[in-house]
Amino acid sequence: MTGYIIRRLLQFIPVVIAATLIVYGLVFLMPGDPIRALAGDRPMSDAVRETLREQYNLDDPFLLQYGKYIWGVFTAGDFGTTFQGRPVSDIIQQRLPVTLTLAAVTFVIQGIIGIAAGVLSAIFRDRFIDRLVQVSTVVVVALPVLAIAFVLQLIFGLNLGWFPIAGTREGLYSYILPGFAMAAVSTAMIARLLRGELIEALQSDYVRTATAKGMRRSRVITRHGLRNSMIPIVTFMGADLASMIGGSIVVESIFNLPGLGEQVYRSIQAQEGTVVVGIVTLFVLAFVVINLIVDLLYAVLDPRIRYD
Amino acid sequence: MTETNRPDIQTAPQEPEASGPEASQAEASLWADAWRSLRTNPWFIISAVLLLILITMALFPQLFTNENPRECYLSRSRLEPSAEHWFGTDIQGCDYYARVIYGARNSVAIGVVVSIGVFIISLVLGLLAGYFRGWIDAVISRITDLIFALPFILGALVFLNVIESRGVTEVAGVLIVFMWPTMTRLMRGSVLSVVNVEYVTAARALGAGHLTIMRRHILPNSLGPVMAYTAILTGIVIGAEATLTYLGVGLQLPAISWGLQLSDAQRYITQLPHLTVFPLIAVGLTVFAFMSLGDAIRDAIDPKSKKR
Repeated sequence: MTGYIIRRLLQFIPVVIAATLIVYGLVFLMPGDPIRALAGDRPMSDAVRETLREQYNLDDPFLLQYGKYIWGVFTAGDFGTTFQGRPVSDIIQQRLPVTLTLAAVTFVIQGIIGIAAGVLSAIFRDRFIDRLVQVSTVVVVALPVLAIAFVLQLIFGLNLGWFPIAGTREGLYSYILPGFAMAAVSTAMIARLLRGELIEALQSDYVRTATAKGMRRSRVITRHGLRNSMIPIVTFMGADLASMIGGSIVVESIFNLPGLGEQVYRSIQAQEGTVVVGIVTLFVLAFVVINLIVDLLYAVLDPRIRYD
Repeated sequence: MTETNRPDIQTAPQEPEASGPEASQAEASLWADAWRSLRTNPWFIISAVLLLILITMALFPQLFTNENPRECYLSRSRLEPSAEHWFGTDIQGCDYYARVIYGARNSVAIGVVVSIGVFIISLVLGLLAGYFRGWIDAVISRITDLIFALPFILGALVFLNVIESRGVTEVAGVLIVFMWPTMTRLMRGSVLSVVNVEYVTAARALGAGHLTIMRRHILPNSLGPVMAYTAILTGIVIGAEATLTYLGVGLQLPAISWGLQLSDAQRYITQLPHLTVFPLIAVGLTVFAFMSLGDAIRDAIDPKSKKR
């Protein structure tokens, strides 16, 4: 197991380096001279300019700049400084809780509603509730997150006034609409995926055996049917975290949540390259680690899988 | 669903509508069977009708409105929907119905251009990777891994931000860069599933060259899933374009685009919600139509996928 983890981590190093290098390179290409932007209208002496260029490594060749940066990230957790002199890790620390809360709310909604809908529609196959789940998932899966977020904001925020439409002033309550917007598509996918898996599992021999032994139906479904159907769901939820990162940019912008996604969007507009690179690097790292955890979870859910 | 269990015997030559004189029996019956199952799928009919309207709208917007979307009078700014202006007017006093109708063209153009581009790239790369394996496969697979490590919206955001003037070509180009890996993997997978089949071995034994084998045997038999995904991808692309434009890194004024309309409307969402509602419906229906068309095609080609 340990060997497997180490091997996976080693495999991911080139991917992480290449991905961050691309982002770093693109931000490097952003138009405009950051030092001039920093100076604003005031004249700046050449000496000051030189010192600043030195301080931000702006005169180093591109690859060396990148190397210094990535070294700082991994050895000291130093994501660089904004041109206003504020450490990027500061911004990350301040914004991370919002994004994590949103991700957690999304995950809970996905898990509860997706699994409940999938199980119900598998048990009551071809009955009304199953048809309802089928039709609504077909519709939801085929809508972009942008549209779902706006629809929720218009109906439940503006028209009915049940939820706040922007900001985080009302605590966890303000995360419900954005959470649903982020979770909608994945919830529908989970419901569909689980329905298929569970229907197949419930027709299998081991379920028939369990039922024949006189086991309660609820126990048969949860212990025998569900446990065996959960593997693809876990895979899906893990892989889906990647799309959540993209979704968080959109949803946080629409609902005006001060999280990392919204910060990326803002920093791109403001040409704050270091902030963009810092947050994107963090996202890429998170993505890789999550994928690894998902892989390891398989072994827990399916004892047949052994990593050696 | 029950109709999936249709016995295969029925698919035999009953309908001799071969797509060409050389078309093999199996090919004709696969597509004929797919068409039969499509015709009875309500989702296919709904999405086909929607797409027909949409494409007409993109090609001949004049058929739907006599108003010129660029003729704006501040004297009629911010009107609510009425008999004269079905969707009301926007801040500049343009007829909003005409704006929304004319917005179809850019969305559909980007959707179609990106899909065709991705389709061609994936066909070629997937075929090469799946057929030759070895180093070609290794290189292509590592590049897809790399692009997968970047969350799509994030990557596109950073990429597009570097380009200063963005039209349909630029946005479509960046979307192609991020969209090809998924379909290439799909194509590679379906090539792998047919590359070792007996008829390929037989063709090779008879002395057929690589090109002939790929063209005559591999391509026709691995095209199904990719075709279905192309329709789904068009939907994804249109949603992504609207999202990126909404975030301010897609199309730019004076282009008429649903994403721009949404991003302008957001400031007025509490006072003038109709400005958000109509482009939103347009984006939602368009994406929905393409994606459910793709789903329907996939179900028709591979009935097994229906359980998902």
